[in-house]
Amino acid sequence: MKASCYLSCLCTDIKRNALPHILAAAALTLTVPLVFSLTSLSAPLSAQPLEMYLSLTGTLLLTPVFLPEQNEDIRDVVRVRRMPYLTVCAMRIAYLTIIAAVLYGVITVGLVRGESTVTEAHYFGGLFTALFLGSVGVAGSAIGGNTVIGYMASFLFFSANFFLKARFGVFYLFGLSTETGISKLWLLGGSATLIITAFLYLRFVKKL
Amino acid sequence: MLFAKELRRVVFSKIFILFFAAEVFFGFYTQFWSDMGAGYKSFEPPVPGGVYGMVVVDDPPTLTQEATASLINEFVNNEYITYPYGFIHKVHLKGADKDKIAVILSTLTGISDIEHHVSSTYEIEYTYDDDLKQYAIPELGVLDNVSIDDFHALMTEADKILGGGSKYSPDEIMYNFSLGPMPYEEALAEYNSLINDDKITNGYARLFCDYHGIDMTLLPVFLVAVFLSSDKRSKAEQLIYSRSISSIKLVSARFAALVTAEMIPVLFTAVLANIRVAQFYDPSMMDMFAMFKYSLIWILPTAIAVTGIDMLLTGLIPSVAVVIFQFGFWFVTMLMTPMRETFGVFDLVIRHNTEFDRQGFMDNITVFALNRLLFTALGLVCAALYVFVWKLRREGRLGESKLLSKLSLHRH
Amino acid sequence: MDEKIEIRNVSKRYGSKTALDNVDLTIGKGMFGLLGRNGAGKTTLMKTLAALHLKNSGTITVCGVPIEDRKRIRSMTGYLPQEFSMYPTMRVEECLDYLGVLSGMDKALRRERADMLLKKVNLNEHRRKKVKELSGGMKRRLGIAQALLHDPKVLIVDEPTAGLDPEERIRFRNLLGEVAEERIVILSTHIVGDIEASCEMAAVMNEGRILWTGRIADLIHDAEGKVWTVTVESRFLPQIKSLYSVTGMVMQGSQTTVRFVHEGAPDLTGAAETSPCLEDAYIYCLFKNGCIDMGGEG
Repeated sequence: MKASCYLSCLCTDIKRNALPHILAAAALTLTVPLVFSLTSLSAPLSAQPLEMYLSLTGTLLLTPVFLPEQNEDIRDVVRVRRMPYLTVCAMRIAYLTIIAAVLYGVITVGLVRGESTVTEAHYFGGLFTALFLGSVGVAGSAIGGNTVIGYMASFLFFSANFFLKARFGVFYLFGLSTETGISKLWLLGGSATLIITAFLYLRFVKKL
Repeated sequence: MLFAKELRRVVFSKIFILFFAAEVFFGFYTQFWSDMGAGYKSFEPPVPGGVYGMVVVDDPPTLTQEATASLINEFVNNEYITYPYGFIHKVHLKGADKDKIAVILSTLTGISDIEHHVSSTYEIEYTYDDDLKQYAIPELGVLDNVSIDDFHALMTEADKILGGGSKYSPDEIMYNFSLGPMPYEEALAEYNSLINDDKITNGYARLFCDYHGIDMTLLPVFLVAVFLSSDKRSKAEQLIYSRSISSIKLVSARFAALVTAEMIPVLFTAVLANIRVAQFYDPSMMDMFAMFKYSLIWILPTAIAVTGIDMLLTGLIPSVAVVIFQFGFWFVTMLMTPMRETFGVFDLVIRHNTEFDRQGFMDNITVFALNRLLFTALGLVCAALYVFVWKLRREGRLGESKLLSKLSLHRH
Repeated sequence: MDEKIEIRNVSKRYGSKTALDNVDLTIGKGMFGLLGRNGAGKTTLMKTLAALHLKNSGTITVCGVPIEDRKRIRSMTGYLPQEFSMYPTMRVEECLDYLGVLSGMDKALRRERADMLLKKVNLNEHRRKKVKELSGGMKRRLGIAQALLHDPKVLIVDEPTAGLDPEERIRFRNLLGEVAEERIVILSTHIVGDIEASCEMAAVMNEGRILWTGRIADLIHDAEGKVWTVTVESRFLPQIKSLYSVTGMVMQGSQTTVRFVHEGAPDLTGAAETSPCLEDAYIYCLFKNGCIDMGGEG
């Protein structure tokens, strides 16, 4: 299939499906400097906005990946096309991840300009946190068959991290803020695992 | 009969199972074992000479000294720690705002150039974050310069200059600078109140509702969003609309079914909570209905309010937007609500994070009652408005596109 | 009480688009067919009669009850929408019970009616099946059962046979025919065969207007002398199509027998007049009212 097809698909998807969610994530990003101070923060405090707040962009961006085709009639029309439906979903996840990376970049630059202590670990750690949170939403949407269930899973997991804290072990979202020393690569791996599981479930169980 | 059918539809749905599991897990975790320090504990009568925790004490000299010393140190470093939205903020003042703080400190201490005076006169206790200094501030005799009321007014002014959420705000100042050890007599009185006045479980019931009030502000939205959109998802909307049942009857039945379903896990955990408390105390001394009474007067109004508001929103905007809105509201509320026993008429989430302080709760009983009545009324009004919206949609007067659906092709 | 539906000068607009344009109809007991193209306004009229849409002007009375009295209208009307479905995890008998509650029926009556209707529509053996397990035909039959549940005086069925196989379609039409003995049944469809097989009276709609209403036999009679057949070389087909409103073509090797509608004798060697069927009559009606031109394009 021509690259121009993928590009057209991507542009249409952004314009028609993803725009409200991108705007919501962007709005959330704009509120970060209001809710947090970005100046002269130590390393753990710099991680707070990235882990405990901006990570919700993952939920807002990734959870609704299957939403446009939640209506079965629409899904059937899309599925019979040459471009596989799951390829379209994978493409969505890819460009939404890039958008999340851009939003994280904006806040990280804000922290740097505010002379806060921030490293690559903050940027990537925060981004992986958002991706993991979003992946929980993706898996919830796929397995629950409803985007609202995906949001429920993601939001509740996020909230539970405030209460259950380090009981989540390597999947604790706020490791940088609380200096647990656990690598964020676990979250990246977990994110990939959840997304692959969701896709495999849709492919082999739901037969999409 | 319709109510029974709608309740059955709710309770046998996938989303209810998840809702029930989430509510019970949260309730179980917070009531029975928790590392937040508030899982159910058993209490023994206090013995003289023990440690009974800290309480706010009326000690103006200590309060004024500690608070002023703290403000001086933050002023000299020009770094103030505030929590306007629950997360830490470091405030650095400039120009007129900095001068205003200087004036406040001058009024409190009688010293004109406070910054110079501190750096030249007082010793540095320790340095932190490489260049921030903590000075040892001696007795300042603040009450020689201002009355206690003026002191509070000046501190409130300082908090305002800092953007709110500081240690000096009216809600926080006593808890930051005026704590003292609880006396034995007070500890004994609290214990006796729990055992005799509260019959044990009423005290635990307030803690039970403190926690359940948190999850009941969020979890119902998932149930409401999924349940109310099922007509459209199943393409049964036209069928339901064409039936002869009145809009008010159908919507009321669904509203009642949702609220009833939401209370099921609460009452279930109330039973478990009773069992748990009975493991610590003689059941004959307990009020076995306390958990249920408090659930009905405290949690039920929250369920009614949240369900009514979310139903109305679901009638106007896509379900997904309602879920995001409710989570955002809940998140902000949790960040801004302190854990201690303070609430106003307009606070949806009422906090009372202790088995004790019966008197404190009873002193606020009028506010509590007004609060719960207000939110019950709000929920019912929103449900009534939803009847109106539903009726308009049924009669074809409201277009298919909901507000935010204009941004997107798909409707759900 | 009048057993008819009276529609007088009814108009409905969606913004600048006119969906119903001064519709005037009287529909009596029995099967009444509403024929028209996609977008003719049939569904809008159906939904207006079912009190699901508001009209902008005109009057409608259903068995003497004004359409504004929604509660009474809904209790007298059964509606099977174009896209019928129910909650997928509900069982067939549960669906009927639930919808019966929504129709204000008591338990005993619901049970009695549901049992009777499930047998009538041949779903009795499938009553414990969930809606998502039903075939398309079964779902439609469930749709009819729910529409008849409260024994309405008026039954409105919107495109009921779309997507059904021929056997199912015949079964469905027969069922509707039985039901029409005791009530007003309005069948809205763009499939002419359904109307021809089951309706005595009909109306033709186009662009929100009623082009014709009356007995089917009269519509067909109007088309007498207007329907022709001719066999031509297949290569002449494009020319034929551009000159006449073609209603049928049968290809036999290099030759094609074409059936078409034309006012007066066509200038074609070998063209023979033939008896019109309802489809021809429908096309002729559109043609006569200027909805399609000589070449058969609208």
